[in-house]
Amino acid sequence: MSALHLHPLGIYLFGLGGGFLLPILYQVGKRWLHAGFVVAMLGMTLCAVVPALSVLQSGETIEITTAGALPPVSINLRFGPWEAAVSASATLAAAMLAISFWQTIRTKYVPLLLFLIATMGVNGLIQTRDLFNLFVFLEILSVGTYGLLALSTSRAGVQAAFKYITATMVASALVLLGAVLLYKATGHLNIDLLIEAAPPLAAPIAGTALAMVLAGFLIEMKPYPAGGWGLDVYETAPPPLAAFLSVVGSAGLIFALGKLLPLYDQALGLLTVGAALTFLASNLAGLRQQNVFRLLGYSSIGQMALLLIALAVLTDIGANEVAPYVLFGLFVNHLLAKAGLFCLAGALRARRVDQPLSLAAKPALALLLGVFVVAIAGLPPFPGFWAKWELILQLAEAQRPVLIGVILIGSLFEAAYLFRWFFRALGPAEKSESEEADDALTLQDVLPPVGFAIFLAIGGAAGAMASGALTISTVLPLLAGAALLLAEPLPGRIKAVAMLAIVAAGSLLLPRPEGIAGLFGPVLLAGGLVIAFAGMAWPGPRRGHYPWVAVLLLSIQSLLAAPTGLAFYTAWEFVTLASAFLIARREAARGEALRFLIFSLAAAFCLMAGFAMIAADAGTRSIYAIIALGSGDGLGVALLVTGFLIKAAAIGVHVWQPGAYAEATDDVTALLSAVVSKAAIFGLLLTGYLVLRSQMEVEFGRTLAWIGMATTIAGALLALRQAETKRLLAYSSMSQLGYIVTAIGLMGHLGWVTALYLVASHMLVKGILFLAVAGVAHRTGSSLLADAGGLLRAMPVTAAMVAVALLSMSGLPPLMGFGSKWLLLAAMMEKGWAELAIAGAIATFLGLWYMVRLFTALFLGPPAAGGARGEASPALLLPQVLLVGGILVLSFFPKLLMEPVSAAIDPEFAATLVWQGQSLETIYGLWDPTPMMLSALVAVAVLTLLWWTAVRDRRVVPTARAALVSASPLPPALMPPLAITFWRGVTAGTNRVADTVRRIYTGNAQTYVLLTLLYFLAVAVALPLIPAR
Amino acid sequence: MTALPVSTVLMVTGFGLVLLGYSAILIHRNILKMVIGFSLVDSGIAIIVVALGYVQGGTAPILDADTTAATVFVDPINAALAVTAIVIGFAVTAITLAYAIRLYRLHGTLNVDAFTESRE
Repeated sequence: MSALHLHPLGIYLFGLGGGFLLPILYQVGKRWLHAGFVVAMLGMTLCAVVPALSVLQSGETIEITTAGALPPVSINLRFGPWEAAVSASATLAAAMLAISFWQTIRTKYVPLLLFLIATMGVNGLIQTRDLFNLFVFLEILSVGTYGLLALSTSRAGVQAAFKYITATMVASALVLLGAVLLYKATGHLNIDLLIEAAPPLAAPIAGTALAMVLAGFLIEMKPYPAGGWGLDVYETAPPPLAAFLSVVGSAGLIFALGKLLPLYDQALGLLTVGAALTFLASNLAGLRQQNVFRLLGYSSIGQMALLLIALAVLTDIGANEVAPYVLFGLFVNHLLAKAGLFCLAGALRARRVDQPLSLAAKPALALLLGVFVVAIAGLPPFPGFWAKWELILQLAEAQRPVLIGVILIGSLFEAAYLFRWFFRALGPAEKSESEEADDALTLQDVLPPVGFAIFLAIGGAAGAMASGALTISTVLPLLAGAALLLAEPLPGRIKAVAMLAIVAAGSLLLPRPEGIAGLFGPVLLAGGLVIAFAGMAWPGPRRGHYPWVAVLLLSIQSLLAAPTGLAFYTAWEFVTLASAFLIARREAARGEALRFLIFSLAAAFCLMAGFAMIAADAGTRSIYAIIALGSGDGLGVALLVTGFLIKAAAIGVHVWQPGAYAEATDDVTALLSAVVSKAAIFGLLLTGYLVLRSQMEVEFGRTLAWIGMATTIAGALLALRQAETKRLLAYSSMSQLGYIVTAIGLMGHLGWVTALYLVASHMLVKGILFLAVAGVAHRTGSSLLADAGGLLRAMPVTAAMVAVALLSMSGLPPLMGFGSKWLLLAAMMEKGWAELAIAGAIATFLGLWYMVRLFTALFLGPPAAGGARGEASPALLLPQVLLVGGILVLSFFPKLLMEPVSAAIDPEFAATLVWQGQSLETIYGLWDPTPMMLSALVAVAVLTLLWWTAVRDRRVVPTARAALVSASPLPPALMPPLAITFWRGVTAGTNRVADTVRRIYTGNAQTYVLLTLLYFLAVAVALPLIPAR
Repeated sequence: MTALPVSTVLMVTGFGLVLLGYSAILIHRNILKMVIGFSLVDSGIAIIVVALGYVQGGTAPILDADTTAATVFVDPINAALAVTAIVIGFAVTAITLAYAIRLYRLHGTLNVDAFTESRE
């Protein structure tokens, strides 16, 4: 009992009492009616929430007996920690939904009464311990729902209500008959006594009865293929009612099923298979769904199936310790986010998925919708994320890789369709002003979603705390983002300075990583800050830009310092989300942002699954403990490598990259290419350490090296075909990352030193190049190579910067690119990989070609028609100058970087290290750059002289330039767009399957009844076949 | 041949009604006939519930002066369950009929095939 002496029995008193009183109050007056409803709803909520808090605090269960007798003579209710948590959240959600629903239900007493009764029914489903009483509460919820559905007045709405009634009548008839037959077979209706009696599944009467009860509750949860009637209602009901059914009603249903689960402890596998089918099919069908509310319906059914999977599997594997945390996390995440989505979609009058809602112009609403979509997609920092991570790790420990695959693929589909809707909704709507005025939101529209979002944030923090991830590394990036969000009204340049200051200061607060991560950290931080400074070149408020840049840069630091898989993965997802939202700020880039996000999430899910398997093997979740142990788990390592390679835009999975880089704002592209891509490289290096001492080492290295080299060559060839500067640089970025991947694949000291050297080099070079072409595009108004030309005179500083960057990247002496290429070739020869070295030489030649092409097209030749009106803005030039400074320092004092790099890598290498016993000086003895550089300088001087002679002849230049700019390396027939064709095929195939999956939902009530009956028959046939344990 | 116990007769009748009801729901396109089908199912279930509580030779479960320790009662719980189920079934049937009326007003037909605006 709480201090206020509120008792859960009050829920029923307020529910029934309110139900009886409202008709009378209605006669007295509308105000009385409304007051009566408010008092009853508030009373129910308090009677659920206040005792729940004390139960959760003390852990003591409140047992409620009725009629002055003990069970089984009387019916009893239970209000233990589980019941308390679910009852309280469901009732609270119902109260918040009542606010949304108010305009619709306030006019008559019937809907108000039914809303109270239905909420009470859900509480009864949760709390009762009597099987027949469970049926009664199920019917109370059903009858309440039937009545409320009468509020949908459209033809489709009335039809849907009829279908809903017919299907749920089948379900409740099954529960009723099953309950009575169980009573006949066991003599009990009390659930605890029934569980004690443990009626066998194979017994004729008891078995059939158990199948009936199970099928009844399963059908109520709208399983595939017997759930079409539910979708019809989600589509047509008033949104707050759909939300109520989706989250409050479902809470009661799944809880009821959960408390009966001990009766089916041998059938958990069957339940899991059925729920997995529903989860996959719902999310697959969602991909093709155009109606927003039906889409949310598919997502709801999928999420309930996921909860059921978790419930069945965690019970099966006996993971009792983490079960509350996983189940309640998934439950409350869906409860809050889906309720918020339904309410918000209703308030925004969303109808079709591809209908723009002008949300980009309404940042607060965009943020709200974003919060809900991110939460439902199971991304941080919301409760579902922490729960899903733990669930996947538990599944890996229990050796259920197939189930992991099903969950992650289904989640990917769900994220794909929800984010597609979100990105479309950001677009500007074509509406007249009067229509805009009609759309003005009321307090009742906004209040509940805001409340749900706040609870989500609190739940997220609680989840993080429970999973041990509530650390400064997780919180700081979000706090920085939130602080900048509050500063949004300030002018853009002030926000830019504030952002740089916050990131710089914040990075000091974050834990400092050691080893390789300790090298990545400062390099990426400095590079990130310098490039982000270029944001000053963009005038205007740049709403939504700076908060996400801060989250991005700080999350990268958190990622590098992450001690555990969860910390790494959380930071990784923050980086993904921040990047996607930054790309999506440009309207034209939203399609690419979606593609970026889907590939990124696929990569992230590979990482999650891979890490889970390896961690299960190793028995620890600390990254460095796992690395120290090493791993021979082929599947786990393959998944990790796949995930990191997707993000490194390796050949075949690179298709997300060029478009995203080309369409994002220029400074964002520079950050993505120069800084963000290095997170994948860091991950690959960690994976390299992981397999260093295993059987896989040689195989792993060779595969990686060849993938890297193929990426390099393909990237270079594709770069040569591009007509746009940013696309050219995007493919160049892909090509250069390929080098780094190859270097990691060398799996040796020299290779890895090179990889890190290349990381720094690529960051500096790509930072310069993307900012430089941004300057060119600002001045010429075009990013097409054909529109530029002769800018040498107008933009001499930019030209000089580009020249240094290109020279450095091309591998020509004397700059740092040369050093890295030399190191790479030396390392390959050291390994005896001559073929790879030859391929590397070809790639270097191709790289040189496209770089000369870029420089020639931009700066040489006659000035283009539009012409540039002067040098790029100082805000763009300053970062370039700083980055060039970095190149020069590292070129002439390579040991500044090499020594710490070597020292960081060295202690990590095991006894297999070929360089063991040699001093650093000896290793560098292999690479004494001075004589080589001198001879190379001479060669360059000779070439320049030749070029200059050619340039003097005015007739040669234009032809040579034209040939260089327009020439294609290979005829198009030899470069078929294999990757694009492949991914298009995958998309088309998935869509075809999705269409097949949803075709079974014909919309016919009789078909639905038939499917529910067949579903029962399937359960009834399958259940007795399960062998007893 | 001894007569069949009344419970067996009731059981057969009850299950027969349930099956008859479901066939009506699946066969007839007219939603009023479907509603009648559901009513048949409800009645069938009520009869089964009562039949399950029958005890051979039992009397009504009423305690009075004649009651002795040897008196056998039929199970009173089943009757209580059946009454509850009947009440609920009655309410649901009423709602279903109300929906039938609304559907007819909106569409001018009672044919279930006409009610497939939401699908897939």
